[in-house]
Amino acid sequence: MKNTRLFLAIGVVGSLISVLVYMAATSTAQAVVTVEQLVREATSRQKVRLGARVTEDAINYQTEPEFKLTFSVQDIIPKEQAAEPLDLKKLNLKKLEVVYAGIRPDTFQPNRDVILEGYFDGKTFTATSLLTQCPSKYEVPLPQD
Amino acid sequence: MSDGFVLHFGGFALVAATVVAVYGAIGGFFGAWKEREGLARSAYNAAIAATCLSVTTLIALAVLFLRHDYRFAYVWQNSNNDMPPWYLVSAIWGGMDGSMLLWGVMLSAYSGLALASCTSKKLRPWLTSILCVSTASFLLIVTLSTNPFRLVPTLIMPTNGNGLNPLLQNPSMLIHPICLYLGFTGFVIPFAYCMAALLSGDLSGQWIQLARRWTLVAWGFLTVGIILGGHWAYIELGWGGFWAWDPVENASFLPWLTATAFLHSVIVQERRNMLRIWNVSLCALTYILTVFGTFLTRSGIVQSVHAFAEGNVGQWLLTYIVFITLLTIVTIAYRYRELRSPESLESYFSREAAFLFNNLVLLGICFATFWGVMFPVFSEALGYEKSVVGPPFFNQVNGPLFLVLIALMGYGPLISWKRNSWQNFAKLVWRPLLAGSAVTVLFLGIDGTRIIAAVSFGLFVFVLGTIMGEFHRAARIRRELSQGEGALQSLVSVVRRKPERYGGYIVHLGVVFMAVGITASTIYKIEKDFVLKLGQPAELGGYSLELMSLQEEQFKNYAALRAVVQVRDAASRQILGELHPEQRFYPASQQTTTEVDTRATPWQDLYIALGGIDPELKETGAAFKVFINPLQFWVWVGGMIMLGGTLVLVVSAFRMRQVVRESVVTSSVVRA
Repeated sequence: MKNTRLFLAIGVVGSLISVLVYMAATSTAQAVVTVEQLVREATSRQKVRLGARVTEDAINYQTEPEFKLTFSVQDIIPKEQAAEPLDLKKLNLKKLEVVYAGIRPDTFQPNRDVILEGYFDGKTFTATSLLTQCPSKYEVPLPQD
Repeated sequence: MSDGFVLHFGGFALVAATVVAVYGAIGGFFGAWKEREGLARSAYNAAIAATCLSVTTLIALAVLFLRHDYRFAYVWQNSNNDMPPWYLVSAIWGGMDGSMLLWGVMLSAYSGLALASCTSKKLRPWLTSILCVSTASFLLIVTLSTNPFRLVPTLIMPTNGNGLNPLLQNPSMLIHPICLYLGFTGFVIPFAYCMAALLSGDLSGQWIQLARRWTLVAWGFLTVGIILGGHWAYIELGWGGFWAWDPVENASFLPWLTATAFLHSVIVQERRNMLRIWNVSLCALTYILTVFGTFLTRSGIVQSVHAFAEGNVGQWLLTYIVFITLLTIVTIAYRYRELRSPESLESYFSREAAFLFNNLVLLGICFATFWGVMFPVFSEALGYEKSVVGPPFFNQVNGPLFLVLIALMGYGPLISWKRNSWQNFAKLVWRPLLAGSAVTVLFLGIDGTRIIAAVSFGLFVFVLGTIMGEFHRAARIRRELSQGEGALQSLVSVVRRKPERYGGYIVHLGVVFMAVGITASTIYKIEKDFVLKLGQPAELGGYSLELMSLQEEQFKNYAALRAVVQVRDAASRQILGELHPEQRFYPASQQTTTEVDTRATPWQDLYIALGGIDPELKETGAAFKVFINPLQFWVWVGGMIMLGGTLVLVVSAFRMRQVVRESVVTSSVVRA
């Protein structure tokens, strides 16, 4: 076949890159978990990503001797379910205590949705990164009569 | 103007543009297929009319914004009375509906340009049809799913609007999205030429030159758009970096990679008539990836900080992607025999092999990035626990691949086509290789633990050396041929005589500068969060920072907390300047943004973001995020050099046809 060289090159480079992707993916992938899941399993885990809502419980923030932000989060109830007036207490949502050693982001408030990355030791969640999500995204409900 | 006219004009123009484009697509198809010239001509006219109508639609939307007509939901959502006119214009693409409209309008504007400049009788009917399919599809989605001319569901006109997201109220946001969209949408032209060539059976070299020229234009805009986006993130988001491998960034990066691959492999086709199926596929893949990018950012399929509100637009776009992909596969299969190249790769040690490896690595980066973006979707679909990969994944995979790419950038130009001789190669390579190795050894001597940095910087010097060698050799020959040309003058005439070659080297030069900046600012970044109190200086990386004052100021649409930080050289105590990081609060949208301040020198950037007030310290101190980014400056310089090189390439590509035409004329005159 006249194109052996071409296909050989494609094959070799392709396999090398696939191996590289596979190795990087297995070593850096983070599971996406919920508060419910973490609390239920109650065992320490590898680095995970947690999307949750900041509860109205006390938020503790200190800047000295080092930055430390302590708060708790619970799972976000999907919009479809939240459309009905529902009693949060009745749902008995699990809460999770979070410690973040960094500056409190300016958009951080109770009831905001946050994306946390970090480790769970079976008791508290130590966040290595904290991102607050903009609640409005870009769109807001239209004015009604 | 009557009120009804204002209320319905924009929506009407949009529908008219859509209908006319649909006619152009169908008429063009049958005109081309049945070879009916009249029908093809009429489809062409329809395409031009669609261009005019859609541009009118965009102007109509701009007028509504400038008139503060809040009866229109989109105007109400994205602007308010306090915004200056230029932000009112940028509000057009501040939300989903308007940005989709802008997309459709740009598609049809490009289509008009491409058709008006197309002289090939054989390609044009098909070109009309393919371009109209694309325009019509997008305008149809805008009309049905994301129409920006929808009215608010109230009878009374609201007196004020909601206002544009404050993060988007930044001068970069005026140009960055425009460049990005001009890049994205521009790839429709090479795709259409490629399809037109396949469908018409005119596979002579003409289409590839036309596709290359328009790819250069789109690629240039996309490159500038991506760099401006990075610059916006750097100065606006306050996390000290400029690229986070966010899905939205990746969405623009994927087609950039395939387009870059195409621009290189085209050269192989022009010189050696090889890789024809490959080029056709790359051209189509680039276009598909631009639509995929729109899909990715507007469907909510993956989480992103940029995400637009969700809607059914994702399904429409996905349908279109599937349609275009099938069309491409069927068309390539249909012309497979004619496309197969008579030539083959004779040696791995040749210029064409270097180009091949360049393409494979670029596609590898594209594949890895795609995989990373879609990882949450794939992991869930394959039955595993839903997982994500972040910047570490992308850096781990793409970092080494980019280094290989840059190595090829130095090696490629030194070897010749078909087969190379070792003697010739050794003669050209030894100087840059020696310089590069010396730098690596030097870096290892300074800090033996940073092997990656040492190898990278050695590599960059090697590539810099080979590029300079190319210019030097060419300029020396020029100087020998012409009497009295100075060094600079001979360099200019080198570029002028062979712009397609030396323009490319200028782009490469920009890439090297950018790579130096990216590597240094990533590896040697110093980053610290701390509290600064009045009268208590803190030290970081050779700087001494002291908080001088913390003041609140009221502005028209926001309140600012402004810090004054004095910067001194830690050793000499000499005052270097003052920085004014700010935090702004926009009451209309209840949003806080941070305005960073930087002290940029070619050597390093000192970057300070105000992280927030401490309720206990009140006005006597605040938390700051401080970054020191070495050689950051060169990232932007590299970007500008790349732009310069691209301009040289674009100008030469558009001049080429004139040259070809003139030479054809002269040769026929001579023959006559």
